[in-house]
Amino acid sequence: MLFTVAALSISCGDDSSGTRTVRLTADGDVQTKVQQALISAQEGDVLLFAKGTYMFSEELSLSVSGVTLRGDGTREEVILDFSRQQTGNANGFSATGVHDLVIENFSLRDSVGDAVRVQGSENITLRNLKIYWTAGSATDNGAYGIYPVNDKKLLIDNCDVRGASDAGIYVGQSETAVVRNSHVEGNVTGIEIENTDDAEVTGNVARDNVSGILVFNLPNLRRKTGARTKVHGNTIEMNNREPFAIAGSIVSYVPPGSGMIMLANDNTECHGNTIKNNVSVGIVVVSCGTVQFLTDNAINCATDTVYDSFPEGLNIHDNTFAGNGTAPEGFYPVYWVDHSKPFYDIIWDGVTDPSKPNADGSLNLCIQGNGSATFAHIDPAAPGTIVSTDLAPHACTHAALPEVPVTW
Amino acid sequence: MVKRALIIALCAAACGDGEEMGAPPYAMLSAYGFFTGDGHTQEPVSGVIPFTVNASLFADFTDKHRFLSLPEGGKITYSADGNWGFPTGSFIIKTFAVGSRMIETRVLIKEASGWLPTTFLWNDAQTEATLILIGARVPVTVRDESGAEHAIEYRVPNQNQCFGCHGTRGTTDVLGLRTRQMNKDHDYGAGPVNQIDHLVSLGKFEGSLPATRSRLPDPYVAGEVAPRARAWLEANCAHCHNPNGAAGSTNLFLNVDVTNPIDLGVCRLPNAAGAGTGGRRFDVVPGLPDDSIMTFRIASTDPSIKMPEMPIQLVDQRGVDIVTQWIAGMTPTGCGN
Repeated sequence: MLFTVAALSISCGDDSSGTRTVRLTADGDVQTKVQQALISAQEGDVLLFAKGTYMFSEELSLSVSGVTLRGDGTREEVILDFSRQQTGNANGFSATGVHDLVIENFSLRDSVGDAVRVQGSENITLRNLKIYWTAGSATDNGAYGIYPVNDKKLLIDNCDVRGASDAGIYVGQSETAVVRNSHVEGNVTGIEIENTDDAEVTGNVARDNVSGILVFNLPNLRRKTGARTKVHGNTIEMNNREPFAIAGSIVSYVPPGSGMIMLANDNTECHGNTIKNNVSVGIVVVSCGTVQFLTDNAINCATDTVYDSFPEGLNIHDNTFAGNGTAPEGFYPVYWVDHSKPFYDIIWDGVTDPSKPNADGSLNLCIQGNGSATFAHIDPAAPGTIVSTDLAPHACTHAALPEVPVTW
Repeated sequence: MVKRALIIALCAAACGDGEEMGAPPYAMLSAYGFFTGDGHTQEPVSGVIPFTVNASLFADFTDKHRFLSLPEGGKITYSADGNWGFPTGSFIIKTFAVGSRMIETRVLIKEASGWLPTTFLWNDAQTEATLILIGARVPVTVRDESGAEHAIEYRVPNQNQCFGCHGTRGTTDVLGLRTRQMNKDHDYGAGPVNQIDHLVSLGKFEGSLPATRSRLPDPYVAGEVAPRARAWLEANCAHCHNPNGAAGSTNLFLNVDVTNPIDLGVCRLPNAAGAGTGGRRFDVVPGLPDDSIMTFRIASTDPSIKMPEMPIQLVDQRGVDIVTQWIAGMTPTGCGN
């Protein structure tokens, strides 16, 4: 209690800018004192969490800009526990409408909802966070580990997320985002980049999720575009976990054993990744209409008149594929005609937009330099029909995407 | 005792220089002088104008007392469909009570930069309410429409939770102060008169108002089902479920002026509902309320499922019923499968 009052007196002090440190400890009524520190924080403050396990009963929320939340120790030594959440907003930590937020060096576990949610914000850094559910990979776990939505300039760096019943790390309806050097394991999907422009996904390990990395655009969301995601230098392996998303959720339709899924996204560059031992497929490239057909209308593509359902201008090059397609699941097996060979490293539904001119080839799906990776252009309307396995029509390239400079 | 000391410390923090009678927010509700006496009877002083709304936010069967106060000479800017505009120095006041027991009084303060949400927690003696930005839990026993009692820990929201419904810092706005909510009768002591006409007669509006004004039905009063359901959804959901609201990214929009079926949830697949789907595929399946996610969520008290998220803990069964009837009454077109 003395500590709390001391922290408050700091918060009540001068208005001069500059870093002030508010120290928080894991004893006493942590819900009240941490939430109070978040509400009374001022721009420039560092909220420093001492080592210990903080048992919260409700969501922690922040609406003040320029605040840093930092664990004073390793991320294993500072644990924010949300297992006692019973009512109200049920995320772990939630920030709304802020800029220049830094969250780093602690663990968040057992949130009923998403562990970290950042909405309508700008210049965000989420670093060295460990997020997990003690039940392992369970349907009752919170949906997302890290859930930024409607943000600009976002860095997710060196985080570790396990057990999310939707995506471990999600970036949605945002622009300019970097997800790097993170480890996602045992989630339904490892990393999702959804309706987001100018993202970079690099140096991550996506392992043992139901599906590894998804770059996709969905209809009927406020933000319509999703282009120029650069996915490079990641290890995407053994994403073969049995699906455990709750029935009815859209992520429950994600086919297991898929290393990467690209759906209706534009100008994604995927290079220098190691994609191996995913039992269904290394990479699948599909249009929205195909997903709607294959999932028996789990998605409505035509109800959004602004939405563009076609993946265009993708550039998949210089990746390493190995050991994929040994036991395809979901909708894939019907296309697995020759069981003497594994299923394909890369499959494409071949659906293009007849209304768009493409004389310059800028919309082409380019696939080159991927070693001995196998490829199939399937006919989504005729289950079991392989249109072509020839990569020659895809021997093209698009201009390399720049890395996203982290300037915040 | 310790708890009380903490609350006072918190208020000192919130009040900056601690000058009791500087600019709002004051540490004590009584400093505003909204009410006669100690305020626990909610008897307003002259110039503090009571009002009610057509479709009110369900708040766990608590009673509400609403008031507005304009600065000297200040006038409201009328809007036919949007929120009314208020001059700097306005206050919107809402007390939550269980019968004669006042729990909290929320005061929205119109500053030059926008609305500041504040909350005052009433003491047990009912003699004063104290500024509390951190929220609180107050055990109360409420009575539902059938007379059944429910013992709950009433949640006084913290300031961030105020922003959750009233818009983020810098874009915070009022919720109930719009024509279709205010267009109803109220008895100011001389028989029922229309609230908007009353404000006009007091000279509280800028310019003149159109004679025809929109109006929401009371969702709890018998009448045509669809408008009542839409009014309930607007009152309880649309503060987040609008393009600029906290749930704007979902593209599920529940204001009464939304007409595009998919935006209203009809045959709409949720993108990030998690456990909230209950195994159901679409927000609203025409004709089939038991297949619709919307009815599942508004009938739940599980924090990973329930809607609205905050601050209620009980289910508004009358609201569930009217939304259920609304969906059941839609032509069962199917959702494509």
